[in-house]
Amino acid sequence: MKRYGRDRMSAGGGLLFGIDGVMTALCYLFLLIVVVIPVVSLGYHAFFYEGRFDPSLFAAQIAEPANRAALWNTLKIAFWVTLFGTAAGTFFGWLLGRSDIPAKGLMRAMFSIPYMFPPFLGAMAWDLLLNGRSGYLNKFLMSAFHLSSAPFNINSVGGIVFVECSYYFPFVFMQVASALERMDPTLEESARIAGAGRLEVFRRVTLPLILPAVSSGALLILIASLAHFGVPSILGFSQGIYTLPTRIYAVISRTGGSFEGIRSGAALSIVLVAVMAVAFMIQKKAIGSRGYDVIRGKSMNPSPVRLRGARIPLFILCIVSLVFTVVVPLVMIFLVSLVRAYGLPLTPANFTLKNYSRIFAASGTAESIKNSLFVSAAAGVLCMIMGTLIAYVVRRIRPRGKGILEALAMLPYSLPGTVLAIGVILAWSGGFFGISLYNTIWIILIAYLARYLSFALQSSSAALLQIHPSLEDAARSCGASHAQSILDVTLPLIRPAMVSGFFLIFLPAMREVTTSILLYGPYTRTLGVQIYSLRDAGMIPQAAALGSIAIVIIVVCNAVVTQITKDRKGV
Amino acid sequence: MADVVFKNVSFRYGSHAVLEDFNLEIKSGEIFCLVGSSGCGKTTLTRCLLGLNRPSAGEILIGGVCVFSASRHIDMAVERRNIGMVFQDYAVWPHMTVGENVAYPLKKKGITRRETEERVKKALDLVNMGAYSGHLPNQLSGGQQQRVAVARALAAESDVIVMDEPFSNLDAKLREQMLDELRDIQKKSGTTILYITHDQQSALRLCDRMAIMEPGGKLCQTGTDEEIILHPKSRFAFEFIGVANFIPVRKSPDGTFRLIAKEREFDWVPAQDPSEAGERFLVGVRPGDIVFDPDSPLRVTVRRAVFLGGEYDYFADLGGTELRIRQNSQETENGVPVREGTETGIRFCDCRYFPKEEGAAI
Repeated sequence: MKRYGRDRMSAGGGLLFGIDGVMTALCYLFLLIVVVIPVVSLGYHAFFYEGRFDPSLFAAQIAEPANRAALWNTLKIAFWVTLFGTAAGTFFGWLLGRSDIPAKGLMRAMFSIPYMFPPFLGAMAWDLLLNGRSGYLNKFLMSAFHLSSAPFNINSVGGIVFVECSYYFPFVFMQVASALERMDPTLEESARIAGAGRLEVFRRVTLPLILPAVSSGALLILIASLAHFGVPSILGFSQGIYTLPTRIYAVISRTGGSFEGIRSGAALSIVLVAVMAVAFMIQKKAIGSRGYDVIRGKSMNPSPVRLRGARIPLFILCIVSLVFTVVVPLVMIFLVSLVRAYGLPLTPANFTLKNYSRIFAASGTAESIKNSLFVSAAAGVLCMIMGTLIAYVVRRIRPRGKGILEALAMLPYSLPGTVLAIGVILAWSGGFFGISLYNTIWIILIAYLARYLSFALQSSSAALLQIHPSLEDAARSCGASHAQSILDVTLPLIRPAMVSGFFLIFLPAMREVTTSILLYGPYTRTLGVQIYSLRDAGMIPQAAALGSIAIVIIVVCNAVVTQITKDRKGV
Repeated sequence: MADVVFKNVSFRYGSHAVLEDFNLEIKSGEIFCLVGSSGCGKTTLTRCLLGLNRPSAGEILIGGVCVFSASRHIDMAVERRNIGMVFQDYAVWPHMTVGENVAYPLKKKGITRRETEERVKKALDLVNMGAYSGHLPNQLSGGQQQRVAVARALAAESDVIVMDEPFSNLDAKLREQMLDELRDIQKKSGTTILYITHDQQSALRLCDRMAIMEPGGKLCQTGTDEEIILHPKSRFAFEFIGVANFIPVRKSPDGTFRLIAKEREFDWVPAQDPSEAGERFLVGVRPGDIVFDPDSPLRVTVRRAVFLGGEYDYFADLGGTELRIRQNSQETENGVPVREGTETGIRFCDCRYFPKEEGAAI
């Protein structure tokens, strides 16, 4: 048969040197740059000094009372935020997922707004309202009730817990609401038939069934709160209240970003990582012990629980909660962005649009928007490409050590942004082969890549699982090379997941502060950093104006995503 | 047209050997059916042939050309082996229309658009899917998707087509029709077809030659379908292609034979000469080869009688051993079957002898 001519024979097979090998090598190279070198640098500099093991710095940081106070605050805040956030999330999740409360669809959309609203802007808004000395609401209450001191002080641990809660309860809310919607209604109905009352059914059937959703959401809150930077930095700095992430930032910025400061930050980072590790261990244990899967993939229409007399009061409660978490901060930011000077009463006479024109005259504002757009889009595209590649290598090519590959790609997910930023500084500002990216946009890009890679990996992995490998095999038996089979079959099938994955990275990256605040240089401010430093410089109306612009950008992008994902074909 | 040869092929998943020293020769232009229960290594074998799995040892030749050799380090890429494949799970691409699916292999071969259109239409007509060219696969039933997969393999006009359970989702009538048509198509084109199935009925309907694969990847018998049905060489083959009863037999010193049922023994006069079978062996008999004979010394009690339309299926007790007996409805006495609970005698009209399994209790 001439078709099997000698020239078409390949020796040795394509496994080691072919496209598979190239893809695997590319994944390792990427992870080396973005994850391995920064993490190793961090650990090295925390414990080694000039090539020798030297735990004295680490010990000194632990011994420092201010650091201990920060650790204690971190744990305290995380505990209360988790407790209240979970309670609120479960309650509202049940209310919107299972009861006959009015305007469910609208309310659900509203409740997921805190998801995309940057928490540090919320903190700014509450600071404007309830600042112990000059908050607008405090001043109003003081004059209205002739009080001698401010009734509220948002610049406290309680204030930080309140604001964080209002941004983190959706973690539990969304999980619980969707779990309840997918729950097999016959489970509840059969308990009623067996003679159990409503409360009994909730306590003995519904609650145990949604417990896995509640606990996994609760741990998301716990982890997010432990690593959170924005809210405690805005509300706590003025009163000297520090958490570990803000303390790390303070230590570094106090020394003007010197090597000594960064090393201290690295040592503190180790403490923060240890706390996170404990949280992850709890999560693993909690999830491992609950194995039942009573939630069906199919959507059903369970009969909603009648609230009867409580319907309207609970509806009002929902509206009030929404007003507090969404409307008030939003309106506040917009109003303050219009005021001529900070501190003037919020009356139309004092309103002007000058803040908007002024911020663009200020150095670096337009630059910061451009930087954020560039670095977020680049991070989204690169993360999606590399995340898909890693998912493909891990799921399909399965080289030796695929577990290591996956673990490395997921590792940054468990590292707080602050810690990642320090790792990236230590690695890529001259530490390796003299490569210094310090003060360039690229160092921010590397940190973003590390931070958001796990998002991309998870969404691509899930999409790849839906695609049976035989689809690709079939293309190869039809005469397509491995590369062609990927391009013709696998890639078109996971493209929708890649597009929505891109926005999953782009949107949070647009409002990112935690890592950028440690990495920015004179010409590489991001949008978040610019808002933060405008506020820091006392230009609060301008900060609010830029915040309003950020919100508009995020809302527009979000609308685009919803539009895209809505039209997506169900392949 | 091309023949396919497996020479001493071994394949293992980790430490588990799926194929060991596997040898098989498929002649050019024949339909060869590989029959075996699930998990016996059929799919692994096809994946080795396609180049999706890499054997640890051995050689595979297609049309005289070596596509794989462990010792000579040859491993031709999947796409160069020119094998059409119908996957068990159809593997019809969900983002392409039926027509685009079938046209894909032709596109990869660089066939002109006009010829592609003709061949796609021809292939779809052959599987009765001509009207669905513009449909997306998710608008089709499982059986229709399977037929699209078959059309895709046929359109490519490869030298060899491998089909892994291609008609499992069709109802019996459509399956028979498809099998007959596949046979007609193959006789015209002369393509070599390797057809994998666990269903011996489809295999019998389709094949020129067949092989029965034992769990563990060994072929227990290869031959034409008649050979295998009429002269099964092993107990496994005999049991695999139909319902079978097995009863241990012992030869007495005086030359007579004793059937050893679970609770008692019977004197037995064999229908065929068992002299080559040795002292102890198994007698294998098909349910249809047992007839009721009230005078026979082999006494049974009928426990259950099941009416199956053309025939009756009996479950009878022979000294504690359960026997399956089949009786044509026409042959019952005045249309009255043997009643449940009746005690009567039986005779074996036709039987085969197999060596006794090692270590089996008497």
